[in-house]
Amino acid sequence: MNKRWLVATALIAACGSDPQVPPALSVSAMLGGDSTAGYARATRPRRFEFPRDHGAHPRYKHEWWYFTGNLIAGDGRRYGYQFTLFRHAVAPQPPTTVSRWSTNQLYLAHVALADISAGRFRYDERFSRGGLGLAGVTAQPFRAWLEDWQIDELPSQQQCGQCFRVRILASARTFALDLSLQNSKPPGLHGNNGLSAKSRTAGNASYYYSHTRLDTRGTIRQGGNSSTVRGSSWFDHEWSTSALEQEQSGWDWFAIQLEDATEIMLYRLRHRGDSSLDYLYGSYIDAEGSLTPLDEDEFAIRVDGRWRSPRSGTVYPAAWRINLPQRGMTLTVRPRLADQEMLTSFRYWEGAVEISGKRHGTAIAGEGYVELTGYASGN
Amino acid sequence: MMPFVRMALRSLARRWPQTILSVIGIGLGIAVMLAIDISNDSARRAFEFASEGMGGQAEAIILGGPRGLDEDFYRQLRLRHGVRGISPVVEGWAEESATGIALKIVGIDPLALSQPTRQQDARGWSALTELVARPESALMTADAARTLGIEIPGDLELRVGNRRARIAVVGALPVQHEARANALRNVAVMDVGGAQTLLAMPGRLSRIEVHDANDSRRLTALLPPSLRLVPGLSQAQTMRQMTRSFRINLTALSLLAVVIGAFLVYNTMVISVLQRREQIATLRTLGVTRPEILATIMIEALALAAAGMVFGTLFGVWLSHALLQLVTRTINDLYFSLQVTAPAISNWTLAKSNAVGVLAALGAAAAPAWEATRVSPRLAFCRSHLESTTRSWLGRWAAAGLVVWAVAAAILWVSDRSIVAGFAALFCLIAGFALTVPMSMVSLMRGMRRLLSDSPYGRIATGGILASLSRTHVAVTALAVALSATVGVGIMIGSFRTSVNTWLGSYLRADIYVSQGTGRTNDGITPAIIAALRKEPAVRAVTTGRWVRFTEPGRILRLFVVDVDRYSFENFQLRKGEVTQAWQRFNERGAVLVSEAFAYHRGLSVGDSMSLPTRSGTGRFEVAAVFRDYGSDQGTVVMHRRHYERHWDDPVVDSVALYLRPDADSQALLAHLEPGMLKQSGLQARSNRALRELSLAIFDRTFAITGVLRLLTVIIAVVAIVSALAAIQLERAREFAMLRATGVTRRGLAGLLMGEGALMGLAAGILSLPLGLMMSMVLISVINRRSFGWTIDMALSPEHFLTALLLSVAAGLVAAVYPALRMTSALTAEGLRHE
Amino acid sequence: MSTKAMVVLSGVSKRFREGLSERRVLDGVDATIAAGEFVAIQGRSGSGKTTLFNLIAGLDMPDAGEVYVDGHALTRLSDRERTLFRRRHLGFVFQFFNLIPTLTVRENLGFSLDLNGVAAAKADSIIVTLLEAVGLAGRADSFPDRLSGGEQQRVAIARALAHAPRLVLADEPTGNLDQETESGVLALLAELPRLRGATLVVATHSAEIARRADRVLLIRDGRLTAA
Repeated sequence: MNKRWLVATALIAACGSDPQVPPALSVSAMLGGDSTAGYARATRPRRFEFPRDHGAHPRYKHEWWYFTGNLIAGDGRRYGYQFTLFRHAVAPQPPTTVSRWSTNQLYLAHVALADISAGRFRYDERFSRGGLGLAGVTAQPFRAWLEDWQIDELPSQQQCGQCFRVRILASARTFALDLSLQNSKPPGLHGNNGLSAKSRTAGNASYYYSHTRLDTRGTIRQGGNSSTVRGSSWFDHEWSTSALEQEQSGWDWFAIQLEDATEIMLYRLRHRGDSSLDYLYGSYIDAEGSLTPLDEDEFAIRVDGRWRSPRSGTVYPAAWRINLPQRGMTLTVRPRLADQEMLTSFRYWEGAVEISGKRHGTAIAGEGYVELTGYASGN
Repeated sequence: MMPFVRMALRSLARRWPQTILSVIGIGLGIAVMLAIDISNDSARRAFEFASEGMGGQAEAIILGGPRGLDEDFYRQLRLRHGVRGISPVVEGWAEESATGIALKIVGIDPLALSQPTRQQDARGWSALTELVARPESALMTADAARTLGIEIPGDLELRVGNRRARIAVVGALPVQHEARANALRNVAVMDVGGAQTLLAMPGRLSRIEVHDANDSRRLTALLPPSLRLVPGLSQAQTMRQMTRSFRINLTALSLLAVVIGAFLVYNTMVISVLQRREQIATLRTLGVTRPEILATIMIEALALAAAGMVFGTLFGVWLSHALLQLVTRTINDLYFSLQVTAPAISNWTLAKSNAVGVLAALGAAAAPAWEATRVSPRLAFCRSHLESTTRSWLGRWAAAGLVVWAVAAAILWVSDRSIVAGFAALFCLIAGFALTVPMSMVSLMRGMRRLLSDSPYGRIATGGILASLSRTHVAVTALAVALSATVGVGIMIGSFRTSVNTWLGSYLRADIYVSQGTGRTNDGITPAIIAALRKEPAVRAVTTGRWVRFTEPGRILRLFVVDVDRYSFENFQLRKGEVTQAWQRFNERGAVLVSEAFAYHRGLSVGDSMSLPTRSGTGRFEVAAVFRDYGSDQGTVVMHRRHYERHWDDPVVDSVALYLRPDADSQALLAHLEPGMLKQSGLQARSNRALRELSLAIFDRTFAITGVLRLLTVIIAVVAIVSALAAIQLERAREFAMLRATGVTRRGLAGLLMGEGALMGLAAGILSLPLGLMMSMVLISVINRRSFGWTIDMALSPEHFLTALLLSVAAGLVAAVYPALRMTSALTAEGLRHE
Repeated sequence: MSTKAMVVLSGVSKRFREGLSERRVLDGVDATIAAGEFVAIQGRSGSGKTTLFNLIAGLDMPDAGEVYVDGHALTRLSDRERTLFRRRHLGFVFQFFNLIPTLTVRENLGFSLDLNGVAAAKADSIIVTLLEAVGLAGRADSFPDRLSGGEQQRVAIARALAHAPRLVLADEPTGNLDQETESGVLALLAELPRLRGATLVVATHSAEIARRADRVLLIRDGRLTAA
């Protein structure tokens, strides 16, 4: 999703405690300006090629690799997890120096673990740079890392562009993830063959594809306890240069995996003043992996409840009803844990959700992940 | 209690000239101690801030060889081992082109420790991230920018060795503390990448700082043999350790001032008690108990001390500004670069000096106060009894003095290397001496009496001094002790200077020394330059040098790498070891020379071996010889370049010594080299003579502070003697009035008073000489040896003794001026009537 | 009143060593001085008057015999107890006045009262009364060295009486005064203690004092006899 300014904010506000303090240097001065001059832009459809496009696209200003998933242990305990790597270019071109440290690429990573049964949510955050190999993403083999938080492609018998088998290894302060993921569907290109528009005006767009269903197995360690888990993950990879429009305050994003092996991705970019000007878009992926775009007139999202974070005081939506009339579907989306708020250098809510509903009158269930940004006052 | 307080204060007010002098005396003591304490404390704080760097105080530091360590190791720690509480540092020096101001370049990774708790200042952090984005960008404090005359943002032209570079100062480093601002005054902070590029050290880090104690434990197992993990506090600790001896010496000198000040209080109180024996007897008769008498005297002392505190604190704070400059300069000359501008005055420091001052004053008053309680409540008593008591005690005091001397000797015998014990012995020496002074003084006075027996004035004068021995001996002792300190310290400094001068003569044999200027680079003096220097027609031979510093816990080891030949090897004056054999081991077997200080601190002798961290782990090196060196009190190790390169893979040269042909003119060669080749390469050259003069100038600067302390001590002593003599003479008003009545002229009486003063001064001066000599011996062979590890050849010069004598006689004369004026102007009858 | 003994000396002896020889100053002295009595002690210089005084005042201890003052056996008291005894019950008048030079007249008087813990207000009225009685009401704030010898001795008498002692000891109180001054001081000394119920013992050469005394005792050869 459109997290570009998020990263920028994160790198500035990494100081954390008081984001209101005005920086000595303006954001624009620091990051080469809001100016997008010199960067490549997502203006027209491109030909996606895998595994090449799993790698980094450093000529674009922002990029992220986003893993979320719902897991269940042998004893029935449920977990949700997130592992995200953000890349942010601070200049269009890398500096020319003799030092391997110097780079225009900064990285930021978030990991989170929702221990649903214990009602506990934990997360961690790291920063680094593309220089000296401290952080980076390569395509062949696929490898994304920030220090020892690493995602590695698992060796595979045959070379295939559609195959996506990776291992996530991340040791945070209070927990550790070791998960192996394997796709069963080809990557789904959102929007216009992967060119994903972010507003009604042309130009604000990103390249965006997903692996919407990744069979996941592995272990989760908390303190001295580890559990063997399995479940399903979702992978987003998106890159762009242009900024959010001034009027857009944030977004709600839904990744829904239904038990009938279909998936739905939806987002709503919220307009600051007038919700009728919100920009909505989505994708429907059938059991075979074929993706169909969903226009804003094909679905509606209604907020059914709210939750106020005791830690930050921010109020987030906490229950939704989603209608897809043309597909005869009504879905209720509920967080598996109320508090899945990321009080990282920028604040957002990213959490495992449970889905129930009806399709053509038959009950249908599922699970997924929801991301809510732009609610915190500091943002 | 009130009547006693009132009596105490009234009695001080009544003797106001003495009171004022006492207050000055004790106040000066407190002031000197306070000023030294403040200076030491400010310097300590400054280097704590300086060593803190950017990322807060490190738990530990990973160090490599002379050229730092490979950055890949850092990456491996992060990526493979998940070590997170570490940060890289690249450090080096550059010179601002226009002003020539040396700038310390500190390269850091602003992202390395990015945990919310670490970053407290958003502005600071946002500026730091820009460093990564633009490698030529730097941050500095607003103060530093002002010093260099630039605005922020603004560009700086730098010279790094023979290269020129431009950096952009893009933001101001936030400063929370003034002492910290001083530490950052000559610092530019850059990204690691920018610093590596600027300093031409790609792929290298100066060190890795470890901020997490848990990590530092894990790291020990992960380090390859070429790297070392040292405790992180060691930066500040090392600095503290390095300057420890220096600071102890200053503190001891300041204590001496307090002791002299206490003597003054003692003196005042003794006289005060003696003068009031009759009054005390009356009080006892009226029913005042002994504890009440004691309290009255102690209240007087306390009041003196309190006034001394006020004066001492004010004067001490003022004095600390001056002393701080001296202390800082000495630390800069001898140890490391340090900038301190404002004294750091803590309540603790104030409390400490004042407490010592007050305790000294009360301690000094305790004996006379106790004496006062022994005054028996009789309706009559006689003074001669007191004087005869005093005389009967002389022998016992002298015996006690010998015992205290024996204690001093025992302390020296038992304590092996303790500096504090050395000073304890020194103070015992002084105390023992003070106890023997009265007896010596009596003998001296009797001798003088015989010499002056022809003159009635001479008989009266010497007789007067002897008759009031209970008063005079205290004053004479105080003056003698203070003067002996002057003599002792003077002889020590003089001997030291002579030794250093001799050493420089043999150590500096080359004609011209070329070294890197402020813009030191990692490349050092390039082979091309060395080759060019060799080709100069006037140059007969060239030797190269390289200084390498190894940080060890709490200390720094300095290795001097040379490529000397057999001829210049003789520049090293060997203290231990035979030169032919030493050369053979040094040249062929890679053995090292160690300086005297080094050998002392580490207990090394010829044939022992010592370890150094080489690129392949710890290497053992045999000690070929111990050589004389006053270059550093930390000590120096010397190794031949051939062997050094084998162990460290470091061809860098950072100094070159040129030996000229006999007919060559070194000034002409300097004039030829300096503006051309050397200046372009950022090198500086000094002639043998200039270097010697510089060394001696540094030596003299080092002892400037000692000189100041010495002067203050003498002032306190003179105040003491003036106060004491004045009191004694005033007390004898009746006797003098009688003399006037029996026909002694005013002039005659004035002459008598002045003569007595001069005699007492002379006695003190003569007595101070043997103690001064003994003190200098202790200072040279105990204090200096233990503090700095070097031996000094004693060099006596008559000037020290003559100065002491002149000073003492002058003090005695000055002391007699006031009583002489008063006695001769007072009416005879009134003098007679008043008791 | 006459039946109660204020001072009782019984078999009191005191020797002093002078170099190698020894001198018996008092040799088995027995004497009783009744409360309220005014007794003058006479004797030649060095006859032992001061020694006798020191013993009565508890300033010195006899080699043999007992000294009782107001029923207290001084020889059995510690130094501190004797000091406090003096403070409370004795008043002194010295030949050289021995005022405390650093205290004013008022403060000199107040000193004994202070020592005895008399409250400030009460002390003030006592001081005023006494100074009036000795005719020095106007000199309360002068320092002793501003007063003439006679004035100083009058202050000393006032001081000796300030804390209402049972016994006043005066050692040659007029020895340092001219004749005219002497009679004024004597008049005070003879009257004031008695008015205040104190016993007065005076060591003196003065015939005038001897005449005014109730009784005159003579020290000779270490013995005390009635004159």
